[in-house]
Amino acid sequence: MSWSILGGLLAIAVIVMFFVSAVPRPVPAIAAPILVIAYLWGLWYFGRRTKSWAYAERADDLIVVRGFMFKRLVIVPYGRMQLVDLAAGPIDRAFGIAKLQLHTAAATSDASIPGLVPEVAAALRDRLAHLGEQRAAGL
Amino acid sequence: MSAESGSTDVDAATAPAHLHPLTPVATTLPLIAGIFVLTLIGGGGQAWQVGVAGVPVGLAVCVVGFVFLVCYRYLLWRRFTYWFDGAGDLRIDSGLFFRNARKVQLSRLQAVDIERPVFARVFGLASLRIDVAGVGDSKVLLAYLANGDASRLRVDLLDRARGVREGGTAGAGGSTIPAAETVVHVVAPGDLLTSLLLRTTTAGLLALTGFIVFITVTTSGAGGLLLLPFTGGIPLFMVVTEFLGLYGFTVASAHDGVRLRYGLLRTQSQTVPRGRVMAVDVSEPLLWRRKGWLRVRLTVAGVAGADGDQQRNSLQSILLPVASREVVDEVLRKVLPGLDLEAIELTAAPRRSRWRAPIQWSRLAYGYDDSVIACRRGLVTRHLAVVPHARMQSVSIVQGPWQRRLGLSTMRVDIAPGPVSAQVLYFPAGQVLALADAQVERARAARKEDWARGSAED
Repeated sequence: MSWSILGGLLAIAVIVMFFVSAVPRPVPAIAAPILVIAYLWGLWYFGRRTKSWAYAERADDLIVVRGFMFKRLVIVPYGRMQLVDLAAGPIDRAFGIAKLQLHTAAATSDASIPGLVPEVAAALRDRLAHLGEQRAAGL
Repeated sequence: MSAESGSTDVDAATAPAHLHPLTPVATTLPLIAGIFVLTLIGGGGQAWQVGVAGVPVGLAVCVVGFVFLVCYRYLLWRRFTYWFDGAGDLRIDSGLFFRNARKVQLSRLQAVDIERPVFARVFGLASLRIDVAGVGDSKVLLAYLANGDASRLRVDLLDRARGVREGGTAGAGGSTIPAAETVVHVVAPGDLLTSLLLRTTTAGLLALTGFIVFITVTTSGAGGLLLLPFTGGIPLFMVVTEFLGLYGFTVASAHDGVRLRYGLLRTQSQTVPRGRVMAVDVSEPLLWRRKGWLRVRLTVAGVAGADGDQQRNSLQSILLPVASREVVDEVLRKVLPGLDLEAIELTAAPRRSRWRAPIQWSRLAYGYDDSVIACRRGLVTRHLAVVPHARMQSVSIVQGPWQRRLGLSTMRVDIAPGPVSAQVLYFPAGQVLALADAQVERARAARKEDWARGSAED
């Protein structure tokens, strides 16, 4: 998503460069194809990355898998969840998706699930929060 | 002042109390001293010669600044009160223009430390730092109190916290006399200095300095010696600050945990509550090996809160700056009861991990027993990170492209932020997956046991 915005901004910058006489002609002429290739690569890369995102609810913990170049797998016990956040920015809302973010006392247990349908996300949050309360054990 | 003495009920509310009346002066003096030095140096001392109506400008600035600041801080001091509300909270009202009412939940109290900066010591004052569990602004500083008041308030806070946790019935059990403690170990200043000079970073920088000076002197004459303060200054500065900060490091064992005291100019005392230790890291720099010295750092909940990065290098995370293995074992058993590092069988990383970690691969290993997991790494400076299963937050497995080519992956034991990082580096992917699954299981079992024991740590 942010990739598309970035691509759009860069594209505008290149187009502007065509019309500003101070910039030598070859600069935008070279930049344009590079930009197109980078954009297409980005679409593919982030598409793959997004597809790799998955989660599984187990009896006592939640597993989140993500990444395809740098793979990550996080196992978060329900009893360790301190906070379950549901966030949706303006663009997220326009596309009808939401992001679930889990927090434990460790800053490094980076477990988030983006791109959920709001109803599914809300149900998951409630379920997780409930399980978290049930299994809550101190720090 | 506020700290009630003797046998009064720990649940009782107290009247609002002020900090020590000398606080405005004691907090302003260091600042004015700074301004004094600045005006003296700045402009080549001109500020102290040029006078208006016979009075040097520098002096006028200092005096006016001092008076103004003291007045302002006096007003702040008048509006700053603290008291116990009898409902399990310490309340603090402060602020001159914007009133600020704080409520410190004693049930979440993590640590109460006494600090005595140089300027405060002149007046016989101390400050009390209160750490509460929680994210964000969880630190409260009461500066300054009279020495006696500070230690009395500290004991009072701890007693009340214990009372709150045990359901308000602790009035009889809690003693208001500072708890007895037995000194376990005192680090000798000579050992401390030697060890700091022999740390890998400082020793490396000092050697580099010697090398640079040697080269410049042989190539361009004695003028090269002028470089000395620049290249040698950094390691020297590091050694001196740590030496002053850690001077007289004393480890004592008390009923509520291990108590640490250290510092030459700024004395700090800190309690590591039993059962609050999230992880420890035992390190052994290359040049310490002949002496058999070790350093122990630890992550404690609350001490390293949201500002984990800042704590990483701070002295507050040090459990033992330098000690022999026997002392380390003894102290570790005090903070992590039942720990026996020798008995933990370590599994070494496979040979192919050397393609990922050509230097340290032979030292990579992990091991576990019923209560802790240990991860070893590092060739030049050896590290052994130990995390109790019950303190683990989550488990992550990470694998980059190069690790995948080699069929390796890395498991990280996620713990509260602090200086310790516990990672099982570069083991076969299948083995790591099985280990992670088993680790989650062990953590759950340990947590249940912890819970069943009805541990005082909340």
